[in-house]
Amino acid sequence: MNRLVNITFTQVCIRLLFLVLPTCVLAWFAVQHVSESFTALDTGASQLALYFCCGLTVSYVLYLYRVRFSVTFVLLLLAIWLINKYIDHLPGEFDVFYASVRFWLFRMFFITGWIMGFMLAKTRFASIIIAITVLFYTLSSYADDRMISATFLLKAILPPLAYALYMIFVGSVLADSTDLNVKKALKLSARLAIFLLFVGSIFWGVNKYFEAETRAVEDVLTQGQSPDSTGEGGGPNNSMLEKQADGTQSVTDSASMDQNGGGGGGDPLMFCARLNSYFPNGQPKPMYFTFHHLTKYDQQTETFTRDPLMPEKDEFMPDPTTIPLYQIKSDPALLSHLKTQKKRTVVTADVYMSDKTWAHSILAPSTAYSCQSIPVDREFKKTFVSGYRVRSYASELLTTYSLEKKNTKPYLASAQREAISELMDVENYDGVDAAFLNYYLKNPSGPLYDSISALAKRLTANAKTPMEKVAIIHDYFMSKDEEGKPLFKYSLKAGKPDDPNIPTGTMLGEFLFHSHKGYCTFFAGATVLMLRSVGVPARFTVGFCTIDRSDKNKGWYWFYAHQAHAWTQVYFPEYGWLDFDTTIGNDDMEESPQPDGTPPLPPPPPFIVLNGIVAKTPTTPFAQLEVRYDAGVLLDQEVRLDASTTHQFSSGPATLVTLNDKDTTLQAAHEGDSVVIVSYRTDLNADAEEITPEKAKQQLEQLANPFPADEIHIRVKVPDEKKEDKQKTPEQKDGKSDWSMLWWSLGILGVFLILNVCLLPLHIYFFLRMRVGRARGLADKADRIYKLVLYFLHQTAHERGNETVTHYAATKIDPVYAIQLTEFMHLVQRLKYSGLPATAADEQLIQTFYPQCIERVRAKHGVFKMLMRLLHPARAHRYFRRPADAHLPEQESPKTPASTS
Amino acid sequence: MNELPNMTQPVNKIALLTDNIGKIIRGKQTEVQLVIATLLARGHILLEDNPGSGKTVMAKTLAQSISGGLYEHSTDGTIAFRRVQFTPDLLPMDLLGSHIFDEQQKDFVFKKGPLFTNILLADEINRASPKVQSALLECMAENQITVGDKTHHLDKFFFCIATQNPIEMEGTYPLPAAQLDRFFMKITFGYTSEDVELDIYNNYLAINNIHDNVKQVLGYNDIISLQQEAEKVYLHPELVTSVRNIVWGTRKHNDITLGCSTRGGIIFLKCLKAFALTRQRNYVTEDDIRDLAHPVLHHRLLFRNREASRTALMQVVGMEIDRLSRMKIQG
Repeated sequence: MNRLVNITFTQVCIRLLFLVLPTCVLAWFAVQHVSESFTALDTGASQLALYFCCGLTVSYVLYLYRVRFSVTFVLLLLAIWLINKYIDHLPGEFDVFYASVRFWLFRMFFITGWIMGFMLAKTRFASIIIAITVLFYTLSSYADDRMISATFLLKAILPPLAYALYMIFVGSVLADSTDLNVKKALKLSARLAIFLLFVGSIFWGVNKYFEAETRAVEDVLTQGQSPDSTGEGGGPNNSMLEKQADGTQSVTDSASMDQNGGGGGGDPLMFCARLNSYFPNGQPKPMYFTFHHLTKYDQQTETFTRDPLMPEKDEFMPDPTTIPLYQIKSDPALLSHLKTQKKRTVVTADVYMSDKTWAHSILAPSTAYSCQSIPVDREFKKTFVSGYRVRSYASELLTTYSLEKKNTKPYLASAQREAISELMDVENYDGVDAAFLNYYLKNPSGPLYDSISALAKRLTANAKTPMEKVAIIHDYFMSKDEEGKPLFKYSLKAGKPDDPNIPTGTMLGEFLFHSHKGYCTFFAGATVLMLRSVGVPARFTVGFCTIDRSDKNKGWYWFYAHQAHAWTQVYFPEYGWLDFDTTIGNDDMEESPQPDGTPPLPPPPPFIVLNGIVAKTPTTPFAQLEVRYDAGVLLDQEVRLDASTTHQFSSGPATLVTLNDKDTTLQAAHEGDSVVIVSYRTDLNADAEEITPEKAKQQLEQLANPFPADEIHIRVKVPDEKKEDKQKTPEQKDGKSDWSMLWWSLGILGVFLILNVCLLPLHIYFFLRMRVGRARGLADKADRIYKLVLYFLHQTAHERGNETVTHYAATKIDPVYAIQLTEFMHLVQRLKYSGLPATAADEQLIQTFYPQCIERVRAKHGVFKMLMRLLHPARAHRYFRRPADAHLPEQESPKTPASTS
Repeated sequence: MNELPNMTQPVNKIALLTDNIGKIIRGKQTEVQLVIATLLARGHILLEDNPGSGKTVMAKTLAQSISGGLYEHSTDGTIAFRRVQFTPDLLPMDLLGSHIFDEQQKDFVFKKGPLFTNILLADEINRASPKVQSALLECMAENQITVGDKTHHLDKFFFCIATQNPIEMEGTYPLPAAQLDRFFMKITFGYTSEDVELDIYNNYLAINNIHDNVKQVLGYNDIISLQQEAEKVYLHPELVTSVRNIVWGTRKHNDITLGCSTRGGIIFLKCLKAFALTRQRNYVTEDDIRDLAHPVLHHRLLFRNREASRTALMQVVGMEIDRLSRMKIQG
């Protein structure tokens, strides 16, 4: 490699302009990007980039003039050390701190820039390495981001990519060309401009042309992400999703949940539900709708998070939209973990979802165990997206409703008093599984938590039973101060809502000990921590609070976004987990009641629901449909047949036939489509209570033939599968891992490519070898062996340079390896130039030459060394390089041409 | 070497000649080969070297190896050989011959000069005046001498070996590029290797008169037939292209101020054929191109500087060699 020895000032300037300036721009971009993720760097990214560029430029110029690296670098370090010493002696503690922090940043960036400059000046491939590093960094950091749009991606990746391309095209040319002048540089930049214009137009064209497609992909992605985040983290609208990383429910995040609800303006209806829960006297008995239990307290972020490993997991979380119509999905394993033994009752809730993103999650009174997909009446399709019926094991005890809340109906208050008095009898937690207890009593340590614990212990000093403790803590939040005003106040402006992500805030401490202002998550979080510290197992629960506003439709409840809520669940032996709400009443919230809408018409209870596959394509619109089925629901009794049966179903004009939720006729059905058949016929002598699984099975097997159907829902198979896939993927792996998977695979692909590029010389060898095997005719074979041997010897033995092959063979190869290459080369020359055909002797030589040639070389070097030499990339490059660019070997006197004879 | 069946006769003849000269001129096999190649290409050669490096011996030995000839002045039955020492006061007529008054016939009779010979050794050619030089070079090119109104044809076997001394620059008239162009080759002998030198001394001590060893191995007609043979040597079209590329390359090269002429190219082709024959082949290869490029082309070019004079031509040739070595064997 011919290094620059005498470099002119112009050349330095050109290099600064074409090499250093783009690197600086890239550095600016990278620093901007890095400073987004590190708060320490939040001191003006441009300034930091400037430090970097200074280091880069100074070192680049120095090393371009061939200054010694070791000396200069040691000097640099010395200077930094001295400045550091000086800073320590600055007057004023604050000044020292400030200056040292600033200097620390400066030092870091300056030295990085310095090293980069050194690399750029000394190695040709430094620029490409830099570009690839930055590219990888941006890719990996964006892989964490959830909101990835195509344009965003383009913005993020384009700069390093453009830099990499630029460097590949220009950088290496500039890096070590000795005869560089202004004219050449201008020509080069013109060429570059054309190239960039070309690339840019391609990008623009692709973007323009595929805009619709990328949009669609984006839509799919965001849709795919939202159910996932609702399924994990929870939030009523999309703005929340951005903030939540992985299913954690932070104190502040649920705050924003409430804020969005209470913030007036848009308070969209989330869902409405008919809760089949009444007092004996017929009054509706409301229950909170649970979404998630957050059991683990993460001290790092001061948030409660969902713990998938929580003991005795009692969460039921299927995606209702994936359940086929009328099918029931239940979790039998969950029942074994169910804690409620005493006063247990089954509550049924028909939930009609109005919000698309929430439609994928189960909202039900705790603890749900089964979910059935139910149809939404067509008149209400505009309001409600989907519906499902959940069954929950709930406690008869009503503990949720705070006594102090306004507008609380008297019968609720009395029911709660009764419940509390019953719970007073629970004396302690003897006999409860120790691991379970430990898990739910685990409190973090630290001054804040110690003081919370002290407060709780002080309050409950005289309390004996768990219920007493709960009541005291509940009363503490409802208590009044000396002036008769409530001690705690409901406020959405608690903590620092403007800066919700600040990790240092002792927001809970601020709430509990100073401001006494907060919203539901503060109350619930504080309650959980306090209860746990006094030995009462508790957990943080998020969901929706139920407000019974209207007497018009008894049992119907309407849930708006602002009703998103957080409360506490307390464990009582035998009674299980019971809801307690310690949040003080919010005047604003309750004084602006939302109107209840018209409840959707519940569908008549179907007699029979069959899931099957169309066995035969029907020919006329009112023909009979032949369906093969093996499962069904008969009066809420799920039946699974031993063998699939094929049966005729007749349809009349009144029969509702849909194809993917759109009206159609039976003709739309094709063989292989999946179909749901619903019948409301009740004339069969069967009663819901009496039916047993055996009976249901029997009845299903003995249906009248043809059987009249009332509804036939056809689903075309392909889109159905697709939809299922789409919904399943986000459930199984969230969007993040989807992207990181992509980057991973891209990374692996990249590594594979790089590896292959490194192995390229070997690939070439094997390619040439393969060609020898496939040669046709003697001349062809000789030619291919000739090329192979030349390449092989160039790599393993000696580079040929500009020698003629015979001379090369006679002077360089044969004296060392004795492989009769000269003889072979003479043969090649003769075949090439004499115009005469090969003789039999030639053929013999061609056949035997090449194996023994490789054999000899291997014997000389050993396999390993031969392989290493074969892999040498620079040698391979030199082999293929045109001799015009080649560095000519110094020929002392070409006066006397060497003889080959 | 790959000898071809139909090649044995000329190959043997050339081998005889080479070996014969090789007995006297030790360790200069390539140079001898080049001289013979020039002879077979019907060209003339310029030897440039220090005095005493064997240039004259070379020419003499060559002449003594060949018998016959049409000139009557040849002694011992060898071919006619003349040596002319060029000096600044040499006149063209000393070379060509002049009209002398014959008293008996009362008329001017043309007395032939030393140029009427088969092998001419023009010693130290650059010491003579340009007038003499151009007279000689014209004869070399045209193979005829015109004195007054009469034209005398030279024998078709006319081989001129010119020498010049590089160090004696004072009092010399360097040959202009146009005249250098007429020499097919310009070669330098250089010193022999140490071992060969010792060998030469020993030989000299052992046999006092080494010239007695030289035999007449070839006849006049053999040379003529070999010259015809050289013209029949096969030249692959791709190699002709290569010669064209090299000639063009010298014209385009930045460090070469005067490129090769078309005549130079033609001479190169002729030399290639003859040289292939001396190498006992009846086809030309890329080796011939590589080995002949310097002796045939170098003296025709003007270089920008000393460095260029060493490397520029080999760069051009190297590129061509590289191209040829990657060429497919057509079979």
